[in-house]
Amino acid sequence: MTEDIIRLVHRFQKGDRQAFTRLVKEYQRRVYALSFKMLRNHSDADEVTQETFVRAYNRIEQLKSPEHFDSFLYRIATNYAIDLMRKRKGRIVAMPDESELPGSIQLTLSARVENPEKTLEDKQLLQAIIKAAEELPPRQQATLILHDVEGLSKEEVANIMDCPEATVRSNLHIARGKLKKKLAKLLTS
Amino acid sequence: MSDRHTVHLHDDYADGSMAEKLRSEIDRHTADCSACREDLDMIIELKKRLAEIEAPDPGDRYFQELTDKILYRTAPTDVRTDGAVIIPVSPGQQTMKTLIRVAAAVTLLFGSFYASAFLTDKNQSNYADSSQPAAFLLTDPIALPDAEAQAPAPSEDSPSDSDEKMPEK
Repeated sequence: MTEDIIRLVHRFQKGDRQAFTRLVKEYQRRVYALSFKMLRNHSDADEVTQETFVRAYNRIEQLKSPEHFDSFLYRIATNYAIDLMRKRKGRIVAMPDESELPGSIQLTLSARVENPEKTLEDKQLLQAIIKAAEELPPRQQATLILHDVEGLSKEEVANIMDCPEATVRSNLHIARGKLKKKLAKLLTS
Repeated sequence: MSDRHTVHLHDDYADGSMAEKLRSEIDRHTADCSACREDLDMIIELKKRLAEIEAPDPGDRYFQELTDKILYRTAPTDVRTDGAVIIPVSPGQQTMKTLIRVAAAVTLLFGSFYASAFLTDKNQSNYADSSQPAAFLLTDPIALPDAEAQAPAPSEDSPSDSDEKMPEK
């Protein structure tokens, strides 16, 4: 985290709304991306992102060290996403259909297509992995996404999930075990 | 190590969080043990695939709107000295308010223009249709002392005059 961000967090903690605005602009893409990866749904990701910053605004005095502002945001976003996942369990959630996404997002996705056949195969495999990940219990799913998708360290994940590092290892091991089986089935078929 | 299965260590191996010595021992073991090799390959493949998961970019316009919504939701509600709470206005409401203000100003402008034109017409016709001076003349401080004297001579088109003159014809 840069010195500039730390200074902004200090100013925000003193009630500077301009600093808050700059922090929102700085972090909203990352929070949105994390939320989308967890919930696979634009409107849920939008809700999580909004709520994360509103809660961060209201709870900023709880942040003791400004250098952990990103973990603070990620924790709020992850907890809110886990709540949404729990609410979603038990009701059928359709995989996001690209045609339902806003036009700009469809453009971004179509721009990535290079080898259509391989892309289709890869895409199907990736969709199957995502679907299998969605069946995991919310905390295991969140751990997997923070560590393997977002690339955070186990220590950072433990900090965000507010649990010991051993719990992160255990959740990760169980989640990967389930996905490994799924992937093995898909690759052999 | 090389004769024991290493499955419980594969997560750390794939994450790269393992001492080099232990890592080479796993390499040695998996070279001979196909079950462990398969498990390790699967974890590495899974990690590679998971890292490919991306979120779409909804675009700058979406994020600008998102910032506006967040700022609106966190805008401080101001409490005035009389106890009234000033509720913050959203960007959409602000635009609507401005439009209403402009519409009201235009309506007022045209309204006052037409009203003054209408009143002028009415006063002129009143003055033309009646033998009495127009009301505004009576309130005129200059005209008031000698209102009747100051009143212009009735024109020939005046209905009262014409009524009187008609029998002469």
